[in-house]
Amino acid sequence: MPPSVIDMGAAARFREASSSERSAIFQEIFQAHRDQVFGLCFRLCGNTALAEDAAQETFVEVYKGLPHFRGEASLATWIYRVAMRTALRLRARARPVEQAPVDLPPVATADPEAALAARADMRVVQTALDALPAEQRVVVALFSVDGLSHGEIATILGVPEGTVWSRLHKGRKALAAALR
Amino acid sequence: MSEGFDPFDPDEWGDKTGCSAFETALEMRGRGALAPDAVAVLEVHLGVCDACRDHAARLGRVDASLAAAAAVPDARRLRGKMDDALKETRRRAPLMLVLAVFMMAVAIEVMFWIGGTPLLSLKALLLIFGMTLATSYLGLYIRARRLRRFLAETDVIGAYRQFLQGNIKALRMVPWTMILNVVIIAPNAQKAFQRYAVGVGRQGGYLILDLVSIVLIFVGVVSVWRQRRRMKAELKELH
Repeated sequence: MPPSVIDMGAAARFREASSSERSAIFQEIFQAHRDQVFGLCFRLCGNTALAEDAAQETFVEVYKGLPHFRGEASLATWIYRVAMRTALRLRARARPVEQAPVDLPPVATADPEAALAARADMRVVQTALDALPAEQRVVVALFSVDGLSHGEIATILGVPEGTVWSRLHKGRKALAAALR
Repeated sequence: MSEGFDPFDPDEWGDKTGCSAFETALEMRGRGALAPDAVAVLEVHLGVCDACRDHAARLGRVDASLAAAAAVPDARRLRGKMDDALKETRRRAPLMLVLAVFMMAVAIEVMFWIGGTPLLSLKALLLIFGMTLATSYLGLYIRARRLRRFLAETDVIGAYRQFLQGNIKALRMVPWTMILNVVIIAPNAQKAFQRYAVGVGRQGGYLILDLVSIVLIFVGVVSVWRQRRRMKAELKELH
């Protein structure tokens, strides 16, 4: 089920539900946002173990915060905000060895040379992403989450859309420069 | 490109010289935000400019890498970790915290009793319990309120930066006031410990309470120092 459908009433249902019903509603929210949250955390943390921790903490915060969620922003926007804050916090806290991008996902291609080149690119891009200032890193990471527009990213970050364009441009330019 | 640059404003395009405007145009074409006539101008430029063509190719590789790095998590493992964390959160319910502090208070009472001094009244015990309960709930309430306020901020990074700066500032003086407490109670602790060690006068576990307090204060100082260091690292991370 797409996140937007889940957004429409899940938070309100969660608020009014009994504790046994809450688990089922939370399960729906978790299923709908799990991959996007993990993807965002992975790009911000650069490492699967740290990204898992960040995603897990995000959903714990979401579970605790849902009864107080008043719907000023969409549920997805709020969840991404929580994920972004959590991932940045965990990354800052992590020891340098934990921050190393050691476990990139496998590349789905039959050509071994292409796979090798793609993995090399991924490593360079992830390292360059890690080196970006937080503001740019967050915008690039949010942008690579499926289906998020500039407007939505601007809402998540609470900045004008032009600023999102500007930060995205600077960030992607730096990533492209790293691939020279 | 400045933070206030509006990529939708053709006048600002006009102000750009060299390839920088085309770099912006490449970005916009990738997002489908470029008008067809502008796309045509861009294509002509790409046909003659090697630097922009290379840049476009590298941007394509960046996008491909970012998309490929969208690793799908191991759902079962993530779910398991999250359930564990939720259980851990439930285990750390305020009641458990209150119970732990209450047990500590009871242990102190027993120490008094072993030392031969009269056991404090039930009223005192209830008072300790009530105070601990109230302070624990107040602490949790304040934390929850701060968390909610923080999550409601629109500029999350800016808000988090302010939150960290405020905390670092607030914690700056805490270790010094704690050390001042040690200076104040140290003379009395030394005298009491001498009586305890030599066995002079009325004996009891309460004679080493000041000493225990000093150790606990030093643990607190180290904890505050570590907390500040962690927050400074987070602040540095946010540039």
